[in-house]
Amino acid sequence: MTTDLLFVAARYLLMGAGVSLAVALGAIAISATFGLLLALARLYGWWPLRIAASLFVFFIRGVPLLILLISVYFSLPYFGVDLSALAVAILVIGLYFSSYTSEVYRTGIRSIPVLQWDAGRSLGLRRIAIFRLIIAPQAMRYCAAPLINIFIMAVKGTSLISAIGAWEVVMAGRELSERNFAVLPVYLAVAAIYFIICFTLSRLSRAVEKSAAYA
Amino acid sequence: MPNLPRPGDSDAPLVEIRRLSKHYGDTPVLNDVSLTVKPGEVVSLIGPSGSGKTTLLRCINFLERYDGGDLRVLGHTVGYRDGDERRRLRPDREIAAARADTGMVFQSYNLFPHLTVLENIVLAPMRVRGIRRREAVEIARALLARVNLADKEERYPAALSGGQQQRVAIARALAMRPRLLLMDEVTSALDPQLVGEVLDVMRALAAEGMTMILATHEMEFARQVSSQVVFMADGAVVESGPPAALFEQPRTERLQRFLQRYRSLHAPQG
Repeated sequence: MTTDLLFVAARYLLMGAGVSLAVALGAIAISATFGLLLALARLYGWWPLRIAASLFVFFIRGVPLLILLISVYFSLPYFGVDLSALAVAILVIGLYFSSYTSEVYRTGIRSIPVLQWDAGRSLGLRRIAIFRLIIAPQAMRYCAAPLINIFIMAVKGTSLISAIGAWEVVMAGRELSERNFAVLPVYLAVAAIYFIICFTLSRLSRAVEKSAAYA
Repeated sequence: MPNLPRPGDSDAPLVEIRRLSKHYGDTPVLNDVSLTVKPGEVVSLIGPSGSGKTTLLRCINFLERYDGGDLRVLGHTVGYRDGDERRRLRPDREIAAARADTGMVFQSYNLFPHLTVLENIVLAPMRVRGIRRREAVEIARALLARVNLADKEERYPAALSGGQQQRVAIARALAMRPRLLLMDEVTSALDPQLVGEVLDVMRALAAEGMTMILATHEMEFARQVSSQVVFMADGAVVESGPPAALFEQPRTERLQRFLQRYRSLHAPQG
């Protein structure tokens, strides 16, 4: 490869990486928020809601992400829903990892002693205020590190979405390697890109853990 | 935040408990308990562990529901609607408003570990009473000075000793300006050398006329500060009366045995 070609290839990969990163961030946002809603539904919800949330978590965790991506993407048209591959990717990865984050939130919230609720109640605080001001901040301390772990898995999960035709860093890499027969260097570059994203996240996790310690 | 209407007669009972009962399944935990507490009174609940002292205190603050009988604080039925034959729960808002007027201090302090001492104290006055921060901080600082912790306001609870934590918990309860203070074995979790500093705070509160109901194992303290002592066993009131009568001339065999056991365990060494 000439320098010129290298430059073009690198730019191509980085464009793909941008798409992957965007999908990952979207999926992380969904799994962070929807997972919390699932956890709240399972902990405090009206019973049909509780059962629905439990079933959702139960089923989604039993299916591999790749299969979920493909089956959702190809079945949506039958329901008259027309979504781009990228939109389906964000949604499916987000929902898939929501089932994991909901478990983290749930155990985090339940790890806070009931006596903390009692203390809040005895001061005249109402349920939602107790949760928001007393329980949630303490639970987040337990949740932060395992949540970031799941977000890292979500980032790596984006490497599957070329299976439904989404163009991102893996697809870009495949195109490049097929054109130049430089399989190893291209995929090493793709691996490096993923590594940099995930490494940044795990550093973030450590920083969060440190700042959450009560001085 | 509207306070509960106050009884016109200042000598009207603050707490009126008549034939209160509670059970877990078939096991009774409170059995026909009656108790009247007037403003300014200090009532000590004594008795062996599992006698229902803690449960009674938790019912008064409606941290636990009760099954039968009548329980009124400031003239209002606790937890359930007034004058209703079939018990119906009050809405959360009313239950919370009633709790705001009744302070509670727990055996295990239960401070909020993620908040500093100061934030622990100002949280409820600001959120529940709607007091502005500046004023809440002022109140909190005055209370911290009173419990001798003025220099600890920026600390987190984990950095304090048990006695200090419990004094913060008392300050936190007082910051709501409660009409009634419930204290649930507040010195039981403390090292012996830290008990005194907490009892001193409680003694000062009693002297100021704060109405208190305390579950306690500190017999000497109960004898000194109480206007009324209630001996409970197996969820029922066995004997009650002024401390002198109860401690000097216990009428029931149960109380006699209890006091004997206590004295033999706490006799001065040597």
